Amino acid sequence: MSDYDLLQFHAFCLTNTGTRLTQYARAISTRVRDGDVVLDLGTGSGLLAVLACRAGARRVYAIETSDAIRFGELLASATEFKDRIEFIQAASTQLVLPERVDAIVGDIHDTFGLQTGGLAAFFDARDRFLKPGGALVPCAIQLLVAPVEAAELYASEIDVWTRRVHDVDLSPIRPLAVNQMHAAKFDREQVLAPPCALATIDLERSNVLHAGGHAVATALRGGILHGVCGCFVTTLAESVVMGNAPGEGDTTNFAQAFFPLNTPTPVLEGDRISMAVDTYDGHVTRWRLDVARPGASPHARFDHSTFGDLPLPARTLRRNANDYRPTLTPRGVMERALLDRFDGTRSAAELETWLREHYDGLLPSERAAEAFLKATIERCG
Amino acid sequence: MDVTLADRVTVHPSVLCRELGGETVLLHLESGVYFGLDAVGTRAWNLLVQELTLAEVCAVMLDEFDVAAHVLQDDLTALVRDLCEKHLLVPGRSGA
Repeated sequence: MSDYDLLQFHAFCLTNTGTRLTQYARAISTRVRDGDVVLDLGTGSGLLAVLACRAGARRVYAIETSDAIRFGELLASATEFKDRIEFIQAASTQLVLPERVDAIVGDIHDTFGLQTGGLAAFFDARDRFLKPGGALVPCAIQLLVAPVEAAELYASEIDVWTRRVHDVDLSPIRPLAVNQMHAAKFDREQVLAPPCALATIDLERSNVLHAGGHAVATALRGGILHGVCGCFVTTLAESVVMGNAPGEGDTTNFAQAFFPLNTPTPVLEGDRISMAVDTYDGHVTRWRLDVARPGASPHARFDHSTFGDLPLPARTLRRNANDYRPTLTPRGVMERALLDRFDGTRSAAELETWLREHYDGLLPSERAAEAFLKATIERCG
Repeated sequence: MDVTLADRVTVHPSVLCRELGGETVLLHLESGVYFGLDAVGTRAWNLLVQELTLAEVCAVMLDEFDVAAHVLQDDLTALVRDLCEKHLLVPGRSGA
């Protein structure tokens, strides 16, 4: 995200997400005790870290990968808690803390539960950083699904790829759009049946990165089924929940997920709509849907996934395979040679000259050499 | 895991596959295990998922590849055993 995007996003999170922060404040005040050490996972603008201090935390490790951590540092510096909060810009999974914590708080939600990789980050933090019996905020996430009618959304996000632009047919891209999870805001009138519980993730005990399940809904009215709305209800503490179900999103104001169907399908009141959604920590998501008249076999069946049609280069996917045997690319060879020269005796200017002399085939300009060197220094130097 | 040439297999219901430039990447959505198949493995996979017996798959592939029958049979049973152990394939009914 650019600085502008970060500002926009955090302005939204801080001022336009309903009662989300009030719910977090309630949960933190019940789960964090005087003198606790707290970890704020994905602290962003640092507000939860401040709330933890206000609840009595004597120290908060506030972890954030993005540059939004600067917002947190600025905001915390204007509070009486600035000396209690230690901001750390890093991926939590790469981090070692000097002590175990009494509580972990975090808001790393997205449209359908947690952000991509959120479960892995949460479980890792719980297992490596939390004291036995420590508190987790949130402690459970329920995933819900509902069949939705969404003609305008479908036209703008899916069927836009059936148009012709300057006599170029856009339809080759449509399969990519229809196998993608979209963000959308649905109202209660768009759901053909109320949201059904799909799965509950127990953040205190689970270690499973797969989340999903199967739910069957009965259409309360006829209409055109365009896809499935995915949403969540998170338990922050006992009796403190927040979520983004259509019409009930006043605790977050978050968008929901939209899982589109390849072909919009008419449904009648009483039709059974069977929905299965599975995700591996958000990295890959699959959604399947059957529609049947009461007592009849399904007359429409769909099976979509983000694995099937994303325009990923073959090499990118192959490298994910557990049996993949990597070899250094020419760029990897160059980077290794550069790293060997990170010995404290050579200046950045000397290293850039060396890169230009030895790797002009890979770095075609001074600007490219400078950018590669700076990126490598940022990561490793 | 015992695999014989008389066996058939089916794809595990949680497996997604994607063919890319003649090769295939498999993903088990519950375990997160990725598995790559080269061009020959991809051909075997495409025949196996038609629920042919391993012997029938071998018969087809012997016509297509320059390979000794016993080598192909050993390689195919080893591949299927590996894929079953990773829960990417599910042992099906015997074709005998």
